[in-house]
Order: sequence, then structure tokens, then C-alpha cells
Amino acid sequence: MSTPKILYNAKDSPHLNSGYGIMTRYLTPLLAKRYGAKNVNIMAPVYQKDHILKYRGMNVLPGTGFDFGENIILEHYNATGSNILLQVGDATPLGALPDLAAKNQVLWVQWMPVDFLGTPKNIVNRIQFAYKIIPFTKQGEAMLRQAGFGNVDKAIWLGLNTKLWRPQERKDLPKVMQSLNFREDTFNLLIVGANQERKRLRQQLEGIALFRAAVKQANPRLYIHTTISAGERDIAADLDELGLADITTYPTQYSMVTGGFGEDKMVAIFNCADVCLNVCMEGFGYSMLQAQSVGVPVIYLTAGAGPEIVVNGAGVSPLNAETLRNQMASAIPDVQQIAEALEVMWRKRMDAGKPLRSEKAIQFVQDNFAWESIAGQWFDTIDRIMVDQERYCYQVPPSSDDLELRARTIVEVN
Amino acid sequence: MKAEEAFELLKSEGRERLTAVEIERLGKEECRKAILKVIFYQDLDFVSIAGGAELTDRAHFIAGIRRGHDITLVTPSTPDPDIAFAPADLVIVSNASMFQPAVFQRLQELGRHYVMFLHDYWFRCQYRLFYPMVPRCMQCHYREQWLPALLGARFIIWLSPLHRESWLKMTPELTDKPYALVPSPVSSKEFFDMGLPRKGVIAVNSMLAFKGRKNIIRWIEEHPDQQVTLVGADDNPGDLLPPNAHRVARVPQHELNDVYNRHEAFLHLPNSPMPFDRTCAEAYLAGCHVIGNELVGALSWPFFKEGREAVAEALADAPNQFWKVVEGCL
Repeated sequence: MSTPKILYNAKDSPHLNSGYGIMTRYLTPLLAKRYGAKNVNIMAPVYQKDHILKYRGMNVLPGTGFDFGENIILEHYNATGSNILLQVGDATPLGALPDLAAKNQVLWVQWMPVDFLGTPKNIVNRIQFAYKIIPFTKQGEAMLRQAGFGNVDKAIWLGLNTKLWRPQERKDLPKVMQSLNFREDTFNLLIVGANQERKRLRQQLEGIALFRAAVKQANPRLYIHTTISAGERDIAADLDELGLADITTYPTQYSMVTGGFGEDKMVAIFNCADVCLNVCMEGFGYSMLQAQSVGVPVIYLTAGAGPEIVVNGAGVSPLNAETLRNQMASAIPDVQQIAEALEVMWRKRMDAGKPLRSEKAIQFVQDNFAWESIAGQWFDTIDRIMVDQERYCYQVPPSSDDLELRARTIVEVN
Repeated sequence: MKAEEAFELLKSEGRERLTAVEIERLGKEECRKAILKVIFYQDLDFVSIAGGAELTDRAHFIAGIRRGHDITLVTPSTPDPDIAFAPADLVIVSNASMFQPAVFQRLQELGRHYVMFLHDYWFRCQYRLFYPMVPRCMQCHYREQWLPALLGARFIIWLSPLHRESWLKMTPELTDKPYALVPSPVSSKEFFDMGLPRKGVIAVNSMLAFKGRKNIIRWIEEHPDQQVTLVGADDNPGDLLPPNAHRVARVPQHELNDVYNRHEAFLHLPNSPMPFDRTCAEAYLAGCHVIGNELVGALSWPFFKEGREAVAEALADAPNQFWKVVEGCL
């Protein structure tokens, strides 16, 4: 097997505290450990511009725009002598890459979320040219296989730093509790999500408002970890309208952009919650995993990744679906069921007289999501691709030495 | 009347078929030799397309018809796919890379005899015309996929000694398979010395990577005193060439003899084994001095060492050789 030379493009820099940034941070060093740092190049068009940085011995290559950097992806691929492009993230924004793959200019492996209902042409037209599609979930794998994709490979879940993501006692986190406006006698709700429309923040807030109105003694508190007024929605306006502003805390934009929320801080925040809400169509849903890693129950949507990733919590059915601008259909959660799930969780919390913590969920995360385990699955996949590349001769091989010699032996006929 | 006589009769009288009386006189067995129901698999309609393999197949097809055979051409675009499996004495599988292995499995199940007429390496390599012959070719999935089809053939026809040698190197299972070597037919009526003033060197389609582009450029650089005309496709048409070389757009087949005749030498230096490379034969018959290498299939034929007359004779007789082999294999 020849050595893989991987161009890893998860869009986000390993220094960025986004989901994709964290994935890059943990997975690429393990890839580098196996294949050599010089054989793993990170492409990070988000937050990496006009120069090349180093991360754990690997190059972090820049982009020219706030996107997947497709305009220079081929240049990076060729300049680094890569033979695999490991592209991570949504496939829908991709424009140039499918063309490059169709022309065999890159060997494109797409690790992607399947966070849509059905398989719109928009998706088919793009990912049909990937050499391999590795969905984030088994549910996504099954869906793409059902849609007729022959290039779908075994799903690989996302990983977590399981040494860091462990349960902590709330009593040891008084400052964090205070910063979130959480108390021991309040019902502490947590929502984490940058993509406010896809995360269905509006419906989740409506569910909380219904719950609050129905169960007056619950005394809920909400912490939303998102950019409150500069994102896709004006969340502050939603909170006002729904009467939730008085119980809601959120981070300042300044603290978000100045690194105020490193992973260790987020671990503490999750540990302070009674329930994590993530009631939306997910391709994976990092916050569901993070909540479970510390034993916090999750309220999730029964469509998408939720039922596969969550072992402790309550499922909410979709009420309807909406076709988005890119022709992808997204499920809309049933707001009434969100309120009911909250009430169930609140009653359990009251009955227990202490925060609900699931050992089963903690063990599930420890057993299945350590980055070493995820990387091991990637090694299998990459090694298999390399063997296949040779067997199927994905790239035109050079002539044998014997042929080179014979090519130099001139034969003349007069 | 024996089959050979019947063929001669048809040829001399310019007829395509034997009469019923002649068939009766010939007898059943001889008739079977003389008139075969043949299905001819080809990717392309060689009547209207003039690639190297298609020119060869066209000549053989016409010769077969002239010998009285009933030949049906089947391409992937043949409207009724069942025609490919219609009753026949023989199926000739020529340049048929678009026919899947299942087709050959079915031929075997139906008990059909088929002859593999190999023009390149498509059973062995997805790059078809470029065959690297590296050790990993032994593990190639193409080999696994197609070997049963090759082993099931009644007979294999290669285009040159080098062609067979290259196949056997990575497919030794075919060593004991009945075979014949039949060169590409090139007519000395089409390619001949016109007595024109000659100057410089010509290369045709050599600027494709698999045809040895880098070898050609190296040769041009090493021979700055030679003016080289590069005809046909180029993988990198934007690249600057050495000052003693220039490109010429594609030359139509019917003008090639004239173009060869204006050059002293023909240059061809592939870097993977060429099954035949008819341009070498064309240029040679057109009076060019040929500069090739050990990977030109045509130059592996002994008759290329015996002068132009011997080459002309062997290549003119190629269609007859082809059909004698085909008729004899039943």
C-alpha cells in the first residue's frame, strides 16, 4: 500500500472552537501520528488567510474566502502532492469540487452529515462524484444507500475528547452556575447552536414558553449558547415576544469571538444543565453527545441522528417539514411535544431531588466516541481506499522500469 | 470444390456470396468453412469511424463479406441487444470494451464459440491503451474480472509478437491458449513513396502521454539539428515546444500519405507496449525512415527487417490471414 497524503478540509481551523474546528483539532494529529505529519495537510479557509501556519507539525493552509476554499482546493491538493481529499461537512455548498472529482483531478472522500429528509437533486448532483461518502451516522448511511448511492461507505461517528468530557459536580462550579444564571433550585435548560434556523431555535423557544406557562412552579432558566443578535435570527426579539427574556442568559458576542468559551469551559457549562435541548434535524448533533458525556438528558428530534446518538432523553416527533431554499427538506419539531418532554424531565428531576445524570449515557460516550476509536475507523477506511486505489489504478501509474528501459532502446528501420 | 477455391472464385468474380449450386457442390463441411454466420462485436461503428482499430476491423469485415460470410456487426448501440446472442457459428470479439463480462458469460452458457481479437489491453487495464506492466497489474481487478472471458475464448488473435509477449507477461494463464498473430492491414496502394522532396522528421499522435510524449520531447531536444513536425493530439497543447519542433493540426487519413512523403523520417517512441501502431507501417510504406523503440508492436514483426516489399505484402495479406485463422479455428 502506498502512503496516503491527505488534504483534510473541514473548513475550520483547528484553533477554532466550532464543531468542525474541534474535529480538526483532535483527528488530524492522530492521522499525522499514523501517516506522518508531512502527509497530512489541513486546509482551513475559515480563519486562516494569506499565510501557512503549523499545527502539531502539520501545515494549516489558507483559503481566500469564508467558505470551503474550493477556488484553490486543487492548487493545495497538487502543491501538497495529496492523493486523498478528506472533505468534512455539508455537501450542499460545494460547487467546484464535484467537477474536479468528476474529472478525476482529486480523490474526494466526503465525511458528511445527512441532515435532510429525502435526497434532493441538489445533493445527488454533488455527492455522486465523491469517491466515497462517509456519513456521520448509520441513519445517514442507510438513507443514502436507499437513495441509490453506490459510493456510500460505512458511517463514522464524530469523536469527543473523552478525557475532558467527564461529569463534574455542580458544587465545584459555582462561578459557572452564576454566570449562566442557574441555581440548584431552578430547572436549568441548555441550548447550544450556531445555526439558528436549522437548529429550530424558534420552535424550541416556543416549546419552553409553553412549558413555562403550563407548569408554573417549574421555575426554568435557559442558557442559549449562540450569537444572539448577529446570527440568522434576532433571538432577542424571539425571547421578548415569547416572554422568556427574564429567564434567559446568553454570551456576549465579544466573549464568543475572544475565546471565552474553550472546551473546558463548555464542559463546565454542560455539567451545570438539567436538560439539553437539541430538537432539530441533525446530521450528528455535537451538543447531544456533549450533554450525554456528562450524563445530562437530551430532548431531541426523532428524525435524523437523534435516536442513534441519544441513549438518555426524550424524543420529539416532527410536526411538519419545510423545503429550504436549497431544495432540502428539513423537519419542524412539534412544539407541544417539546413542552411535554420538558415537563416529563422536570418531574423526574423533582422526584430525584438532584440533577438527572445517566451513567448509561456517560458509558455510551466513553465506549464509542473517543477520538482514538474514531481515528481507528478512519485508518481502516483510508487504508482500504489506498489499497483500492492501487487495485483500481485510480491514477495513471508510471510505466515499469523495464518498459522505461525498452522505451530508450531505439529501433531504426530504413 | 474446396473452400479455398470458393473464396478465390468469389474474389475473382467480385461476388460476395456463393450460389445455392455452389454451396451444394462444396458440401456441408466445406460450406461451413466457407460461409459462416458471424457476429462481430465492436464498440464503434467502424464503417463511419476511422480510429486505428476501426480501420483494421473495417478491412477485415469487408474481406469477410467478400469471402461469403454472413457477418452482423453488433455495437452497444445496436437497438436489439438480443442480436448479440443470436445463433451464430462464431462471435468475433474485437474492440469491445463496452461489452461487460456478463456478455461473455452468457456466450459461454449458450455454447457459442468466440474469438478474441485484441487491439490493445482493455481486458487488462482501465487505461486501455496505456499498460504500465508493473507488478501490481497482477492484482488488478480488471484481470480478475476479465480473465474468465479470455480463457473461455476459442482462440486469441494478437496484432504483433510484442503484443502477445506483453499480454503473457501479466496474464501467463493465456500461454497455452490457441492463438494467432495477425498484423494490422495497411495498403501499399494507400501508402507509398510519391517521390516528393523530403525534409525533417514527422511524429503522429506521439504527443499523448501514453504514446511517449516525454520521450519525443527528449529526442527533439537531443537532436536540435532536426526539424520535427508533430501531427495530431497533444495532452498539453499549451506547452512551449523546443524551437526545432512545431505542431500541425490533425491530418485527415486520406492526406496522411502526402504528409509522410514530405518527411525523411518518422519518429515514434512510446513508453508502454503498443500492440501494433499502424502509423509506423504507414510511414514506412510511404518511404520514411522509421525511428522507433522496442515498444512499437509493428517493429517486433520479423518482416520489418526484410524491407518494404515484405512489409507491404504481409500487411496487404492481413485480412486473408485473419479469416484463415478464424475459419480454421472451428
